[in-house]
Amino acid sequence: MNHDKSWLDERIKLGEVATHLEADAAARRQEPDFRTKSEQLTESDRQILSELPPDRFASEVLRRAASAQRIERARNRGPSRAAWGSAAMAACLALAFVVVRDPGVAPPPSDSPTVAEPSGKPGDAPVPPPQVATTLPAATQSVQPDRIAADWRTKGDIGLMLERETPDGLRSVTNSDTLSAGTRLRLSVPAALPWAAIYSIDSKGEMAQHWPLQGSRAEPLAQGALPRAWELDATSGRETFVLIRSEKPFGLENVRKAIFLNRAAPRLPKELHVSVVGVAKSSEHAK
Amino acid sequence: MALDVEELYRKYGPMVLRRCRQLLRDEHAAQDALHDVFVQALDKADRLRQDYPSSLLHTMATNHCLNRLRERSRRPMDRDDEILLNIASHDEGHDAFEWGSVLDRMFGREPASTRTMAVLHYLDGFTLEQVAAETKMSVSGVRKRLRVLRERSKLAEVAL
Repeated sequence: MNHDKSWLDERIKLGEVATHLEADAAARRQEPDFRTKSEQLTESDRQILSELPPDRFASEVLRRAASAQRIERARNRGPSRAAWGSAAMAACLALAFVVVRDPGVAPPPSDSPTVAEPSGKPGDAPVPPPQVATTLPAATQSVQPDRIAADWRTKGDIGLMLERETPDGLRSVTNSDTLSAGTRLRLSVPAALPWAAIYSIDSKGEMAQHWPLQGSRAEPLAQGALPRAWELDATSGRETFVLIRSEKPFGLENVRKAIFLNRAAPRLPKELHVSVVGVAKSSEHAK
Repeated sequence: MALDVEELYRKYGPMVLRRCRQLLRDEHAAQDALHDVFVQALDKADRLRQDYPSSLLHTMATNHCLNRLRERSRRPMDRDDEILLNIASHDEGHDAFEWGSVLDRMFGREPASTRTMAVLHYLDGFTLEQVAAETKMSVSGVRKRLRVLRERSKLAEVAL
């Protein structure tokens, strides 16, 4: 095998030849192509810095770092963000509805985090558009609970099912429901999934990982409800639930990043199937 | 004190990008990886000031690119690419447990990825001693890790 020693040229050029590399560096300097290679590196430096200027680069790095910190904070907080089990009862104000959005039609929430969408420019994630379970042409269209499930089924996709806990048991979430702070939701899937992950993200960009319960790689998900319920917190706006599934194992780092950047239609590799359910909620607690 | 990202990029960014290009062979992915490596570097400000930054950034870029390669499946383009993809697909879950030694924790060292060591050695031509120096490991530790990796992967035909 021919070893590519360009790393040594880089170290010499930078003046950072460690003790354990000095002998190799001395020999390299004597080789006939060293000067040419060194000049090529200098020209490459100039070209790279010209095409991607330091100020623009630094701005993007700091933006990504801030996003990563927010995601990490949300992940560490986990599903407890919505205060599991603490159903505070207060005055209730309705105007909550459930939609299954068509990301190609419905715009992302206006209060979504102010971060740039992947746009194919240098520095953006190289991911193609997702396959998304879509059902409705508009976010405000009325749907019946069985209609949601039926649409998922007819498309052959596997979507997230949302049910709310009531004193009388579980009830499917419909557009006529009032989803207030403190409402406890049960998330379920209609079939066992080989590899899956489920996230939610609220209007402020706070994310919670519902599945797997911990870890940074997707895990198999059994048919039915997740082990934990999810209690809506008092953050007004829309809560978006995203199911990612695949026939093969996948890591979650880029999945989280993609959801954070575009919750309505996270851009992920085509082998990852995405289902999105949006829930509008009020900041008032249920009576 | 916070890192001056612009200054760090001006000096080392081109080197990191070239490394990412070499491993990923995709300009778009390489530029994306370049940004991510510098995001990670923000957390390693102290080490960047202590060590040769080029060495640390080179290792970080290698590790990051291997993770990227592992996440995406594609057909190898040539012999080196095949070896690289084999290394990238090596599962370190077991190794992380096995090699996450008490000594490493005691001395606050961050054990380098076995995959990264393999790339440094097999593709870049670092000697075992040089890999050890770059990754702050003992030579015997590097040799042992690479032996295990070879046994578990398709690298058995690659001679040390």
